[in-house]
Amino acid sequence: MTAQTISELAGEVGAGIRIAVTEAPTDVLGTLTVALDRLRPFPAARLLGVNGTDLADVPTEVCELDALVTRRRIERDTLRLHQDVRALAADGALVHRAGLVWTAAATGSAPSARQLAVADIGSVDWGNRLAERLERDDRFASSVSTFDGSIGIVSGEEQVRFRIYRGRIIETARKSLDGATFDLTADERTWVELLLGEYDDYVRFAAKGRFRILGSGFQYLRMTRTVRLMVENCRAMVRENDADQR
Amino acid sequence: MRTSAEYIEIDGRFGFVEQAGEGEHVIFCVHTAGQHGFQWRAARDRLAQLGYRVVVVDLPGHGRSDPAEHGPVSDLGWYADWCLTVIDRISLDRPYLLGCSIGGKIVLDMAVKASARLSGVVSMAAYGQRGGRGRSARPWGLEDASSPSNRDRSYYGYSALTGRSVPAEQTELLALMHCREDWHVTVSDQSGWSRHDIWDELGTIACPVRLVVGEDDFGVPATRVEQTAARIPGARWEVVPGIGHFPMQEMPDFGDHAHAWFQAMCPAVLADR
Repeated sequence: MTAQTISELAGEVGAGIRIAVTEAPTDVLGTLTVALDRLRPFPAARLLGVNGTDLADVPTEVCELDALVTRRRIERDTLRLHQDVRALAADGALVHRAGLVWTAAATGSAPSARQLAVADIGSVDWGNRLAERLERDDRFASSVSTFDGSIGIVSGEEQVRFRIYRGRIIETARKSLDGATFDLTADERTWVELLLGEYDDYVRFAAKGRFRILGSGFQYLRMTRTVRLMVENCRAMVRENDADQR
Repeated sequence: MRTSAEYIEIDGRFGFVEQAGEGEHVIFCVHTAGQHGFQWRAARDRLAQLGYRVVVVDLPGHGRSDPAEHGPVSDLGWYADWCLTVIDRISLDRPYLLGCSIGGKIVLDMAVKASARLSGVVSMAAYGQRGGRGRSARPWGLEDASSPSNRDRSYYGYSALTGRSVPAEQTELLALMHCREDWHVTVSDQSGWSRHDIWDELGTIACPVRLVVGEDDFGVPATRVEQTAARIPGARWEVVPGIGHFPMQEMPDFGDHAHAWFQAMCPAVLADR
């Protein structure tokens, strides 16, 4: 495999592609295999695995694949990409879903600031950047001035928890010692669409069940404004970096 | 413009009714869950300018009306009966009905019960089936101790229910007005919304009906509105682009749109306004 610099690699988080399905394989794996070269984020990407599908028969009405890069992580010299693939019927209804994991060698320059805001949502590094921003937001401090607990953000398999006491985040870590007061949980695609979308659709997504609250539902309701400010700041990190790059 | 307001006594309780305009044709307006006649302020004035007599009620427990005798109401059919009583009390002759959300369901209910007394119905952000999870509010849902941050939840929730095309300051005003609600009344109204079911009676409606739903109203699936229209003889329905759950507060030219809807129901009577 040819090593490429990170900045040369396509497939940033939020990169999407829609592929018409013209063949009629009998299962999801077959459909993905047929479309694999078109799903591949960049030529050097190697398929590492397929997650999150039961490989059931593909309903005959599947006519389109909708793929979105949802995570981009660099560990040592290896780039790892997650791609969420939805199989859609003619009317846009979701009939099946799979997650692809791609890998490639990666060396060179660091990702853009904008990518850092969405590349690895739910990781501790990402959480530290969010915590720094929240620390500067007086509205957030006010909203948690009487809170003593931990709020988690969970994106797919990644989670980060913010330990909060008397208006301040006192620790950002993968786990808090006494567990989360509540975790704000969604799949990677939901987080990416929420952060990159033109509108702040948190309420709409929540109403459609795209977010799950694990832990204390009462505290989640109580901290409504805090949650909204956290989402607002997540989205602002992206837009702030957009502005920096102009 | 001449406007008037009065309290009407029904079953020992006072209901607030305001009116504008002096036209021959009457439009009777019913607000959304937890809200009151304020929602129709701009629409009321424009429709009165267009020559209608506009009647706006505050449902019992809302705005300036007394609470209902037995507390917050979770039966939209009860509200429909109350509205029909108001129509009788102030001697309205075959009014047009205009309602939104629970108001939209209430005017459909009124049409089921009294089509012959109506000239037509515009039902917005509503349908004839059960809504949501189709269940009553659970008892703990009406306890302060189990339902915190109602103001924040109202603010953010109703902001999100507003359409993409609506200016931010209008969305802000709309959300702030919802923050004033007695949330026991609102939750009871929403419970009524969920339980209300006139699906089997829709076919008996014998007056003209138009159903309207905002494109951005994620609380009211257009498919349900379409299904409802299909069950009402001659009913029309439409989706309004860029608008959410409150067309009368979101559409800057709402009064003119409503006029067109009523005119389509009865072009000979309402022409040339």
